Amino acid sequence: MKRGLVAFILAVAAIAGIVVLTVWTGTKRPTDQKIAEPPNLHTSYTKYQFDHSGRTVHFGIQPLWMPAGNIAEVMSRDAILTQELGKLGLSIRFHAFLKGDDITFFVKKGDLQGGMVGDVPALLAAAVLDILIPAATHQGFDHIVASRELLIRDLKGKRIGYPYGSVSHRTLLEALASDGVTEDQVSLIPQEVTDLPDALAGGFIDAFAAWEPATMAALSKAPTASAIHRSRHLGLVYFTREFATNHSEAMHRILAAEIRAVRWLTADRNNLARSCKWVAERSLGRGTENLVMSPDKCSAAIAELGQMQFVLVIPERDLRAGGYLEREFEFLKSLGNISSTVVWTDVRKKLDRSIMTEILASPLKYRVDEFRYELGDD
Amino acid sequence: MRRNMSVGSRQSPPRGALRLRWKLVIGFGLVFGITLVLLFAATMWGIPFTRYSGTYAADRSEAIKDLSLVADLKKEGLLRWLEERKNNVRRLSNDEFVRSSVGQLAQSVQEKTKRGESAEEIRQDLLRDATADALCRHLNLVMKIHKVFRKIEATDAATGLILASTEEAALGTLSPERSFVERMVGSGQDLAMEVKKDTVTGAANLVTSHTVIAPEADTMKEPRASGAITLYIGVDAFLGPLFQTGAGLGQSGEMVLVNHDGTILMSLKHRPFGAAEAQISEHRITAKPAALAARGKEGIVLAPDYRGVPVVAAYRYVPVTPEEGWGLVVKMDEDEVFARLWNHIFYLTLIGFVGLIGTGIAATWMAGKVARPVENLSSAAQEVTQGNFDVRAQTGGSRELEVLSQAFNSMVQRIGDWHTNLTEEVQARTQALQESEERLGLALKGAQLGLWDYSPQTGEVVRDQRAAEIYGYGIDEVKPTIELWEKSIHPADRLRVTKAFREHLEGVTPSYEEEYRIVTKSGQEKWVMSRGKVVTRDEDGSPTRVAGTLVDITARKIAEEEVIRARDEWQRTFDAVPELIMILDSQRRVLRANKATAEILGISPEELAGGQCFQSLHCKQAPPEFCPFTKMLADGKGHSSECFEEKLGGFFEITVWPLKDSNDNIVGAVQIARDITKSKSLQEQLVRAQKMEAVGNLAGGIAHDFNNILQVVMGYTELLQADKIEDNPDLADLGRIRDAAKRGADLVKRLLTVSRKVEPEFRPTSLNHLVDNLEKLLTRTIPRTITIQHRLQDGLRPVNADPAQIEQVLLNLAINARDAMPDGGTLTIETANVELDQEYCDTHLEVTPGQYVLLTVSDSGLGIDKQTLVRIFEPFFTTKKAGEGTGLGLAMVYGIVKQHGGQITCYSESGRGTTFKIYLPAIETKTELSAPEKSVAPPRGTETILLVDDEEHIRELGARILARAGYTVLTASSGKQALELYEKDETISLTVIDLIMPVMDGRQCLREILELNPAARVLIASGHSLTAHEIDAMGQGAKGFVTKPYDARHLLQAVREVLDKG
Repeated sequence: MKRGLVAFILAVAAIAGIVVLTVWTGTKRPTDQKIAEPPNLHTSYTKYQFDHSGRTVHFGIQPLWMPAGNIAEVMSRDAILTQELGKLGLSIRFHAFLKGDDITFFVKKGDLQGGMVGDVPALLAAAVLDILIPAATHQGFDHIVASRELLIRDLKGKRIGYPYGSVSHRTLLEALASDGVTEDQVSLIPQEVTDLPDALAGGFIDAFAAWEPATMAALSKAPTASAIHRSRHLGLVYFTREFATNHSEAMHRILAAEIRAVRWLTADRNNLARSCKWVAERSLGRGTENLVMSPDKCSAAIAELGQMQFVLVIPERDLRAGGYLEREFEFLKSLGNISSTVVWTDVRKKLDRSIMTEILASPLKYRVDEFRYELGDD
Repeated sequence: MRRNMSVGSRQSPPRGALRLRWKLVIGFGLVFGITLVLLFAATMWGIPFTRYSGTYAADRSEAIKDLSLVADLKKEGLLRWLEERKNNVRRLSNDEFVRSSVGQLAQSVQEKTKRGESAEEIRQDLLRDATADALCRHLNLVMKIHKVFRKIEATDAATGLILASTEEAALGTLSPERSFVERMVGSGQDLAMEVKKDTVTGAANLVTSHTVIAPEADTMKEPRASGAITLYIGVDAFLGPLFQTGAGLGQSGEMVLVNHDGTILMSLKHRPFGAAEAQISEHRITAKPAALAARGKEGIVLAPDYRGVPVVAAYRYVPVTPEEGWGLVVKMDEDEVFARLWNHIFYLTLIGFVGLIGTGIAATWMAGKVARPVENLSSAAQEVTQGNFDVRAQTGGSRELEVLSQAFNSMVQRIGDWHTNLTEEVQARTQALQESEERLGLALKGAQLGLWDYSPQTGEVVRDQRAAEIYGYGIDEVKPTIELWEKSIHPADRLRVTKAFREHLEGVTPSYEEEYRIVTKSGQEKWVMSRGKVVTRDEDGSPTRVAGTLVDITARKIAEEEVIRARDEWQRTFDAVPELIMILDSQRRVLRANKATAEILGISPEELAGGQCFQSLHCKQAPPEFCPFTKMLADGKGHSSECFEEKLGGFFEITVWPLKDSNDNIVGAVQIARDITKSKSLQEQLVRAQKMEAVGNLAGGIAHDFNNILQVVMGYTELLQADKIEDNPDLADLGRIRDAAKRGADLVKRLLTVSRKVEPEFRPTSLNHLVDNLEKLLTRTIPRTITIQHRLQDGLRPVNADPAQIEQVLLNLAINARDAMPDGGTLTIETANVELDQEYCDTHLEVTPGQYVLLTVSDSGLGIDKQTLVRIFEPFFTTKKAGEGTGLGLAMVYGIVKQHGGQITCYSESGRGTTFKIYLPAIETKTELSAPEKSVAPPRGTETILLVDDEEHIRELGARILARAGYTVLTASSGKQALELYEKDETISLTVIDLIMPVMDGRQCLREILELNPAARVLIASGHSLTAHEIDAMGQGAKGFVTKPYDARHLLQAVREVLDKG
């Protein structure tokens, strides 16, 4: 009788202790987190109006993706681009998306004519769509951020958030595999990139895979957090083949605007800060304040050596056989994201660096060194 | 003598005290130790569900972080250095002087090339060219200022010729890196950077090129790269020292720089595993960290390095240009990286160990402190337990112990006193107990009781010698178990007994008592009775001990079974008797009654028991007069009485035999009541039948003589009448004589009928037809005051009957009915198909079960009283006045019915009419039923007939009748004479023989004739009616039969029939 009573008291005390500790550490329940939804159900996208008259070029961008978001914001304010497209009887409208897969979804629907995406969404799109990838935007890193400094193998048994179908998703799987960790040994939790920093800081997840500015936001929110793994990625620009064929000149002018934007951004640190402010304004509109950084921080991050690098022409070494893009392509195939019937040579034909080279070789024609931007109030 | 106990005074420490001490040591040690271990574990591995991850994780993280930090710093340093070099080449290329000089020189060289000048001519021109000279000097100046460059040269973008260089000898020659420049220009890039090996010196250089765009005069023309500036930097001279500073990397630390395919870009600290000395730009590393870094990955990994040694390596990607990226690996041997971690763990463990030892010592000291007084007290208690009540505990120490010791000493004092008293009392009680046990043992032995004892929780079973003997074992021969017990129970009883035992264990029943069979060791079957009871239970109510007795009751069981068997047998016998048997006490009270009594009286045996026998049997409140019990009481002998029991509707014979005790006193009686109704009825029927038989025999005996007399009278009367003329006055007298003779013959015939000497002419007959045919006659016979009703059943079965006799029966009954209804009434004649069963047949003589036709004749007349009713079928019994009836009517009816194998009953009550029921056996036949005979003329013939009769008158009469009918007649007065005639005269066609004759009767004569001629035709004449059996006995030789007295018509008809048979 007495032994039973003692056991009962101990059990109650243990349960109470666990409850108190759980509440004290502020652990969130998994159900509190958002789960990635199909893009066509995302409430933000329902506000977009796509003009299918053929007079407007709808272009998908990712403001929350540094520094491609900055390039896009500058391009959207490019008076020369507006002027040149006007001569062709066209206008351009930039639509913000959370990740490259969403852009491809709307391209597939016929709402968009092109966009700026990471290499993974670009390769996934190239595998199923007739597109042309004529330019790059930058090379940067996807990160795996953990709550503290540790090895990849230490992630065994941990909960890891990731944006499904993104470059970071690929980065996570590749990193786990590189250190002998299987998917069964970790708990993978698909989440929106905007939710990841808070999830890590709140202790709901132990690590996540994402890109800038999510990494910087997480590091600022969680003092002990650390980027334990980085993987290079390429930012790419793609258009539908139909648009590239029927509106080749327009495509050239848009790409020239990109060159112009990059040159404008790299010419002066203030321009970079200004572009960060534009990103923040658009981002605020999307309710993604979690990832918004101050212009100073943002520009400093972009300017930091070795982190991000503007790249306009798709690097030759990435295109060659066995190069980065082919390796990425094969990795996606091995994951089943790309059909086994699709071969690299077919996808390779959709990557064309000569267009950008041609534009760079004709700076006068494409006015790549002229800068006329609508700077707004500043 | 009392003494105080102390630690020092103990010879050996009591074991209990030692255990207490060690328990305390272990208890304190465990509490302190576990606390220490938990603290150690928490310090090392953190606290679950909190953010504190422990020293191990923190140190590990710190070590990794340090290495990461170094890698980041090195990467940043490299990138800054590279950026400086890029700025160097960018500034130099964008310098106005350089741009214009390169533009001019490139244009000049291109023009000369177009003109077809040789390479040497062009080279010589360049050596002489002032612009080229100025550019060379400018390049030399730049190299001197920066000091990091090994060489600077300006090349023509189109031809690859060196337009200017810091090495004069190279001027005008093709640049070794011209393809590098061409690729840069061709890809639209303005800067390229790569580590390349000098083809001449073999030294590795960081080659950095930048396009040079010459100023165009035409601003509308797209600018073109005219040349390129290329800087050469010795890798070993500058990159090596930059990375190999070793700051923060310890002794095993190293940095490795590889290009995109893993080729090393700087010297390695160690020799690679399985390779000779590694050469820059030649040796390729495939180790994981370097490979990851070269592929654009950054992170930290625990993996073997190029030597195969486990290292912790931070790898970084160095983006040199969009087209070129390097891998930077900063690594330290794993042992060194985690050395601090292991040191930490070691010291923590050491502290923990020391803490544990200290805890142990402290626990031991504390345990001694706490346990010592208790040990003293315990020692004193030990002494007390060993019977030493003089011992006293040492007082002192803490207040609680002082109080405890004093209380103990006081308690010991009192226990000592009690002990003395108790010892005496125990001795007395022990003696009493021993005596009691002895008595109990003797009682058990006398009662042949075995004892058993079972502990359900341990399964242990204990039994005494007697219990073992019952099972056929010696006391120690086999270890008793509950399984063995169950196995020894007879299979037929096992389930019941084990269930009862289990139910008692579960508390369902208050005790366990079962009688059952066991199979002993030798296989013998025994009956035992086992009694038991749970004597102790634990806290949960589960039984802990069950005890009981076992006794061999085989002998008793056998006796009981014998008693039961005898009782059952007696009861079965008792019940099997169909008579009513009651066992009475001396007061006529029913003690027991058999089954038949209960069933017949309709009273259950329980209701019968205790009641007076006359109440139950006679439904009376006092013994009847004829009570045999009363007589038995009077003389002490058995008596019987017959009585009619109205309640039971029958006659009973009641017999009573006395039951006496050993002193010959009557203590009761056995009373048997037997239903004699049936036998009584049969007896009456038998008497009647015998009477009828006697009368019949008497009548039959005189009938032959009467018939012969009447035959003569009638025959001669007829002959005289035939010879007289019509107006002869004698005719009337002759007629009267003939009529009287006829009446006499008729009377004889009736007598024969009554005595069943008249053989009926059986044929399938429908009683309905007979009734219908008789209707006309009855209408004439019965007065109109009487209504005649027919109720004839459709589909009435035929009967094998003589229609004439049945008509006679109906007529007689109708006349009787008429006489019973002088004032009119209803005569009802009914027919019906009935089936008589065995029960009916048992109570009626000469009736067999089967299908019958019932002919009922009833009237609504005066009825018949009971005295008359029993005699109505007697011959010559009549209630009519003399001359009105012969008394043979109903006797004839009775005789005819009996001769038909039937049965007749009469039911009558005075004033309510009379009913006669006649049962005739039904037959199944398709033969045409008999129809009324038609009147035809007597047949005639011409054959010769031998007439044999010992009566002369009859012989003559027969001869005259036959002769008149045309036959030739021979006569013989005896059988012998007849044989003689028959032998002589072959013309004889038929012999008519009187059956009863002296000397040779008709039977013998018949046989003799048949011997002479088996085909002889013989007609038997007799006053008796021959039965079929009699005819058979004559050897079936007779062809026909005619009854005497016969008239002419009957004789002639019979003769003709026989003759016609052939």
